[in-house]
Amino acid sequence: MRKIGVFLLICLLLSGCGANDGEYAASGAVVFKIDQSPQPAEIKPQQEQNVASKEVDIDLTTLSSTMIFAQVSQIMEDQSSYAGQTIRMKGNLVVTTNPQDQSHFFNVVVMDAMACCAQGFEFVLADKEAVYPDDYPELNAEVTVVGEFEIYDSLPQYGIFNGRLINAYFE
Amino acid sequence: MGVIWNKLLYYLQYPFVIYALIVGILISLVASLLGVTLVIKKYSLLGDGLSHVAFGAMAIAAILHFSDELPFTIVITIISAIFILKKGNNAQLSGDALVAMFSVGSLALGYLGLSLFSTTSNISGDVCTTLFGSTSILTLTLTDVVISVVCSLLIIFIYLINYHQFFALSFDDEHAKASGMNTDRYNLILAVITAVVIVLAMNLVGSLLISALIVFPALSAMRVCTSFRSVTIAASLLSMLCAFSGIVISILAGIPVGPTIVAADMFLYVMVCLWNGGKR
Repeated sequence: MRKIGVFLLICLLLSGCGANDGEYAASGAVVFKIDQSPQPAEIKPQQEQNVASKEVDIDLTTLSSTMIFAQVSQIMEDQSSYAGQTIRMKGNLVVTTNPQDQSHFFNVVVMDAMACCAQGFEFVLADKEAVYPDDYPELNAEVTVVGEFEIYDSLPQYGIFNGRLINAYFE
Repeated sequence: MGVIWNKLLYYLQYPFVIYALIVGILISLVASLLGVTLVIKKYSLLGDGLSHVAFGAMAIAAILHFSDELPFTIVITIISAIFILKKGNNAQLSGDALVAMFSVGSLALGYLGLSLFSTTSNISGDVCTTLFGSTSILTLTLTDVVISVVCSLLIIFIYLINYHQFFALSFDDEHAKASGMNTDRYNLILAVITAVVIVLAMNLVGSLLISALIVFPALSAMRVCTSFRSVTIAASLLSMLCAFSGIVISILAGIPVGPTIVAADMFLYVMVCLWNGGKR
């Protein structure tokens, strides 16, 4: 009877694990809090986004989810081959906030076929007057982003280069 | 149908798709060659056990920040394969128990190590991809492709020149030894190439599904063929067919690559059984 009681107690303790609040930290790096608040903003027409439409070099919207994941992995693996090319991508809008200076990073993200891994691009809108959250779609909404791929020095103190879409606009 | 065909032709323009098809077909070929011998020797789950050891080795290499995890993984897997095949005849610790010990122990310690000494921000995603081979085969670099192709061709060459010895080893170790064959050496060769195949195949179907790549083609071939040679040839052809169709279906349908290939292997086995009418 005592052994059954101990077993049940262990089960109760294990089932009481806390939920993830959307915050993660790579060791030694800044903690980025993922914004979970829903935003009701609509996408402005392209003319109002102060950007001209571009000819797309790589259109990820025509690919299956498996191919999108693989192509994005390929782009991030071999960034220099894709620098300057215009990419169109459809995915979910994810916004991360730097708690040190409250700056926002905007990302369009796709999940792989098993929904356990995500790939995507950070993007920076061409419309410099756009303000978050008013001029951005709802968080986690499906968005189509077109932008020019750029390699930049995201963490200069570590010599880490990242890729992002600049002069971007929503379709 | 025309739409699907046009889409496939469009996808074939991507280099990483061509790399995936080349490596996938070669890996399935070498896995099926070994599969015939391993199934006959009743070591069907050896692939499963060694793949978990390889996962554990990859985890250790990642924790220790090795620049390239592959050599370390291959070495540890080879050592484990040799140990399992040599000690598997022990009366106190039989082959299947040894495989089980290595298998679950490596898997648990590997994941535990990654959790305690995390090197990435998405441990679950990396582990999931390694275990199930969701899109790993589609994210190979040119270096990975070259290594896989060279290793596969080497294994095929070794298998062909030692074909008769592997034939003898498959059915009766003792008789082969009594007839003057150095069974220890050929068991060692078998262990080494099995370990290399397992590590290569992790990119194709993931750690958890490797056994399917080894077992199903051999079992399907045994349903329709009788001689060792014909079973080996049939297993190779069936395995390559399933790998090719699995990769193509997965990229067209947007589903995970590894499980799709295994599903193709299973489907083919069921079809062969039905066609054969359950005679065997």
